[in-house]
Amino acid sequence: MSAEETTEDFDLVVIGGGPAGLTAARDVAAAGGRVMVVDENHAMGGKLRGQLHEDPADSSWWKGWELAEQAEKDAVDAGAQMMTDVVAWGLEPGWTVRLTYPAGRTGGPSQLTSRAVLVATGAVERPMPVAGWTLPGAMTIGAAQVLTNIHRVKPGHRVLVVGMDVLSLTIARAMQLAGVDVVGIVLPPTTVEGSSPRATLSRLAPMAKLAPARYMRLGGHFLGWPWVQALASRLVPRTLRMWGMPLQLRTSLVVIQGTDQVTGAALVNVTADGTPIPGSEREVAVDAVCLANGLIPLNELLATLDCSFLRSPDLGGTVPVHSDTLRTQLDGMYVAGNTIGIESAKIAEKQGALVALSIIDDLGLSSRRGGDAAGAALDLVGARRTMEFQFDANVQRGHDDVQRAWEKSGGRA
Amino acid sequence: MRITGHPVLPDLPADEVGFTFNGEPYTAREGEPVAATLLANGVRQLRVSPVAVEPRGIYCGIGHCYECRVWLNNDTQVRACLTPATEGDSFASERTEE
Amino acid sequence: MNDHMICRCEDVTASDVRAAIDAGACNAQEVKMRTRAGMGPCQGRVCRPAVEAMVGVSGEGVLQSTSSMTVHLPIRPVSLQDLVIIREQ
Repeated sequence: MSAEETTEDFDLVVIGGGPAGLTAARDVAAAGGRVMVVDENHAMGGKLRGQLHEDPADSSWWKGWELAEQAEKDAVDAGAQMMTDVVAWGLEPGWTVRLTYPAGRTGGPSQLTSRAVLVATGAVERPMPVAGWTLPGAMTIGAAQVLTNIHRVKPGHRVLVVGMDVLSLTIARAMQLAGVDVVGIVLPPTTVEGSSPRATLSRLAPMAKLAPARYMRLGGHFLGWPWVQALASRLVPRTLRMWGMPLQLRTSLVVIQGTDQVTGAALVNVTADGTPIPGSEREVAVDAVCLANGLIPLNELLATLDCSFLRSPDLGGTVPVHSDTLRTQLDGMYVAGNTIGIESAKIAEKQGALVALSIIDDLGLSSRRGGDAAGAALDLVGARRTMEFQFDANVQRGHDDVQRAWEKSGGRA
Repeated sequence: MRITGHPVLPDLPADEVGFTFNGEPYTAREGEPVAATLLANGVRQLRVSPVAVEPRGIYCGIGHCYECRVWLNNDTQVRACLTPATEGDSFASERTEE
Repeated sequence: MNDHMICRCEDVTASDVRAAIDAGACNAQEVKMRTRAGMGPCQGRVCRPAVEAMVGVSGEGVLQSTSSMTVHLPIRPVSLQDLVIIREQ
């Protein structure tokens, strides 16, 4: 089977069934809207489904799997329809969402027409090109997360994690919980921008609450000042233990080794500013290497349309210009979640609730939930301030820049 | 490579779906993508790249990169990281001429 | 320094990209045109940032696209059969 020559009509089509998309679908459906959520995965939930960590706020387990199932159930109970295993490959103003069914196994309409479309397509991983990164066994940190926490297959018996950020450290911990031997967490190759020990420490500082080592907790208070950063970077031990895993703050990946698949990695010690130290080269035997170089908002569908974008390192990449109530420059087109900036699932869910208020208002749906979008937008700013950790400490600055660009554009491309 | 007895997450249902990859038989959990079943059985290489003729396997794990593409029933190219097997499916690295 | 892949779909290496830059390619789109980086099944989703890291990003502030390396419909591979349906409609 594949796409059938049929059209179905909706008030809202949501592209991407992660926490933002499912929350928006729930609220718009609850307000009486006819809603369809499409997702190319076999199950709804997006990356939330694979999340597993101890919540730094209260030490309870954040089980993405259960949260994703609940979010889907809530949306379905509210009346939203769901389609998995389907790819939205194009958008046309008016709006038409073009669909294809890649396995040719499930079938459905070739297109959906809708008064409103919410693009909630999440993020893509920034690549870390290095010799050997195409070998089977070398994978993104996100792939390791999905394998470990969703499919329950070990990415490897002995795994090296490359790159130190919120994502890589929590996923290293998840692999360890699942019985994987995480032999080390090292820095990216020195050719990767911002990979020096000094730059890495300054990015890690805001997430000190996640790191159990007393040193890192202290670091959270002090690493904010550039001169202390430099000092810390010189004084920091070569290796810190995080849940027993070696966090090798002065070691960089050189190449990934293997012929048919990964068999090891070459490493080198580096100075605080990331210069390799001659004579310190060594090899480690592993069967998997997980590469973590940060996330980039995924905006391909909007990139084919007539709207403008803002490049914002604070948000992780180039995002569509949108209002603080998550309207884009195109009538009936909305955005939420990581597609407008790299943040946690908790924020994505709040964005989903916020964008639903805008959609309900614009479509003139009677809202049983009611609510004030401007107030919800302010709540989002507050929520960011009290978040336990951020992917980027300056994420609110990024959103403020977008808001200024929106106001300057008068809401039009 | 299967994770069992996870300290936080509940166990998944047992294997039950039979399929082949490059002629070898495997058993998948219901709904599990083919790439996960193969990795659970120690199979990492899914195909070779067309120009450099290098082995390739799972890279992004979420359908973005198409590195894990394999032929399903000699008919359709699918992403092994997203596509669950159904009973009797035949997956292969290369398409064979009829 | 060992050579390595930049575009995994089309097997375009870092030396290929560097050669294109040396030959005058001054943004990611021009690298794509000279090397085929970004023209495979993933359509640049993976290599676009890697090419940009080598050649530099184009433009600051408000832009008319996400990257100089253009994004085209369909954004994902689509079977010819599905495209035929659109044509018939």
